[in-house]
Amino acid sequence: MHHFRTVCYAVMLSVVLSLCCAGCKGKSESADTSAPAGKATKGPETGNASAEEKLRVALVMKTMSNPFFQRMKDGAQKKADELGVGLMVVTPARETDIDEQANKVRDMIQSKVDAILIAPAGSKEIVPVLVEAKEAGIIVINLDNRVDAEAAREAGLELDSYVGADNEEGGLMAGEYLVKLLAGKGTVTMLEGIPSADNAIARRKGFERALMGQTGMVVLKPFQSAHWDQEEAYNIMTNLLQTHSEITGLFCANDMMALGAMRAIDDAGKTGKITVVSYDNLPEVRDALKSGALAATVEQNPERMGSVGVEFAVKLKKGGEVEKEYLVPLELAKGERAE
Amino acid sequence: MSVGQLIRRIGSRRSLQAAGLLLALLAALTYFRFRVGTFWTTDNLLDLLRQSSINTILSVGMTFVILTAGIDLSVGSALCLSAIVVALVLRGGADATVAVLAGLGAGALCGSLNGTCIVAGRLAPFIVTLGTLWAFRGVGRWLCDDRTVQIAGGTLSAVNRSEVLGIPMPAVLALLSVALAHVVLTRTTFGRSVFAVGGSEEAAWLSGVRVGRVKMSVYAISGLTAGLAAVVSTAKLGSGSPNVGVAYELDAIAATVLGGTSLMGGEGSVAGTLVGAVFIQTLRKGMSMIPVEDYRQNIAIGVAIIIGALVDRAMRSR
Repeated sequence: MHHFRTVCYAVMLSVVLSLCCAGCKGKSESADTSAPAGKATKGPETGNASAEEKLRVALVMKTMSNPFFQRMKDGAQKKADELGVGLMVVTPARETDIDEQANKVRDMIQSKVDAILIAPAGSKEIVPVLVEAKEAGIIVINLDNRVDAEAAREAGLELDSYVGADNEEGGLMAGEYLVKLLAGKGTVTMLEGIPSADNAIARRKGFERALMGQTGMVVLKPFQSAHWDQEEAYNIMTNLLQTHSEITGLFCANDMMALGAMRAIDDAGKTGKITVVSYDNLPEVRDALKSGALAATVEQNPERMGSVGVEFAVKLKKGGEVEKEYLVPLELAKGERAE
Repeated sequence: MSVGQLIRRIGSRRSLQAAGLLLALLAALTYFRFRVGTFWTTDNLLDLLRQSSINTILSVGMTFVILTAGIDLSVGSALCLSAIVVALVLRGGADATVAVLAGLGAGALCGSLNGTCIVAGRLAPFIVTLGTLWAFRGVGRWLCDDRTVQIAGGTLSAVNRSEVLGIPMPAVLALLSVALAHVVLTRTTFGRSVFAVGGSEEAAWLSGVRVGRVKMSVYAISGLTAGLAAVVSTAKLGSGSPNVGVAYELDAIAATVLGGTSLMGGEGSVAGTLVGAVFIQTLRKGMSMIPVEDYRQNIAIGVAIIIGALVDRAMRSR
């Protein structure tokens, strides 16, 4: 009896499992983004990927739980539909899992895609697998977080293009605006992203450049890292405010951390006393911009990155040329608060 | 002869469960063969072994620990610390052999530290290794100043891409670890005492097994395998990073338990663990090649683990 029940559970769960694997079948066919297995052989030409065959582009990102990457995906998908390209979107389960992301790239090499658009989780760690992709004759375009130049050079990796934003410029833009709002006075600090990531380093550099020569301001150092994470930012800010109630300005290297930090500021009863600027302009901070809790955030147009990435991949595949580096213009999305 | 007797003749219940998992693995491989055009190519299947290698190596050590009814939550962090040590030693200009030995040593040291706290301090393995999960990664990040330590091309990176009889080196290392562990567990006195300690610590002690020494050894082995996994990881990523190996202990525990090793200790096999690790990676790889949304992958892997546990119980209550 007891045994029978166990078997029942196992069968039920197996059904769930198969639904998970197979459930996407209908969907992916309707979107026509994958399952090229039958197609390749059915076509009139069975030789190497002909221009008539539908191109397949893989977009490998860090995560889907950050709206920034959803926007990037939306932009890429729109362009792919427009150009009649099959787009495969893959992400590792954890944003910080650099090894898993390397596995995903390798999976895409095995899937024999035409191009890989890569937004690396680790600027250096991703290099060896990208070398393999290039050796397999796949077009590799770097999006957003830049592949470490030195690591690439040492490995002999030449990327087809980089599409992203100048993060140092963005950090500078945010920093200068913060200085302006505070009229060059007060105590400021920063919550950093993952300290080893290229974009985190660049944003900090830009911010530090903005503060250079501001003798009227106290910079609270060392800057702490909340690893792009909302909850971690909440905790760090809460702790920081207990010992440093003099803080009047804060720069968060992304919006998710700003959301955590603003809640901590609110809980400490310091709303309006601390000027916060951040980065990404996610839909999540719209309310904060409106209420003035967030003074400004750097908009980097991720849709544009995804869209240009797909466009470049198609151009290159057709034998055309593209810019080695394309920088999406940055803007400062300002809150309602008067300057 | 009844079916039950026949089954008992063929092998123990444990090997029967491993056979069940093997069937599940074949089913998954077959499914993905039809779903993904290029899944069933030699290249891709070898790549599957390569991708499974880090988890397989970690799981070998985990199997030793779980066989004694213990647990090692610190392996992901020990991997991180060892990977940083390997990269730093290489960057210091040392030979690749020296770096590999340093990495293995760092891992073994981590494991021995766990063992010492557990045996000498008489603490629960869960809490000790939960503590070192934080501490090891912290030490690693301190050593590298919280920055990724990059290694130039060199010998170690070449190892990642070298092959033995067409099999990628990381997979060779994983398979060798499994083979060695299998011999140790089934053919040596030490192996038998590992099972004995897991079966009943008191009975083992009464029959003259040096329980403390056995426990020390299994944690040291787990640390050592974390060190080896770190070498593979460093070669693969061309660097040692503060972010490597996060939550890998959970994958290792899942592979071990799916492979038929009982969390209560005393029962299991390292061959089953190998199948468990490859099975998990097959699901991951297949689903990402389709590709399936990330959250679906999470559900599928979670459900697979629970099914494994149910099959395990069904086998035992027979």
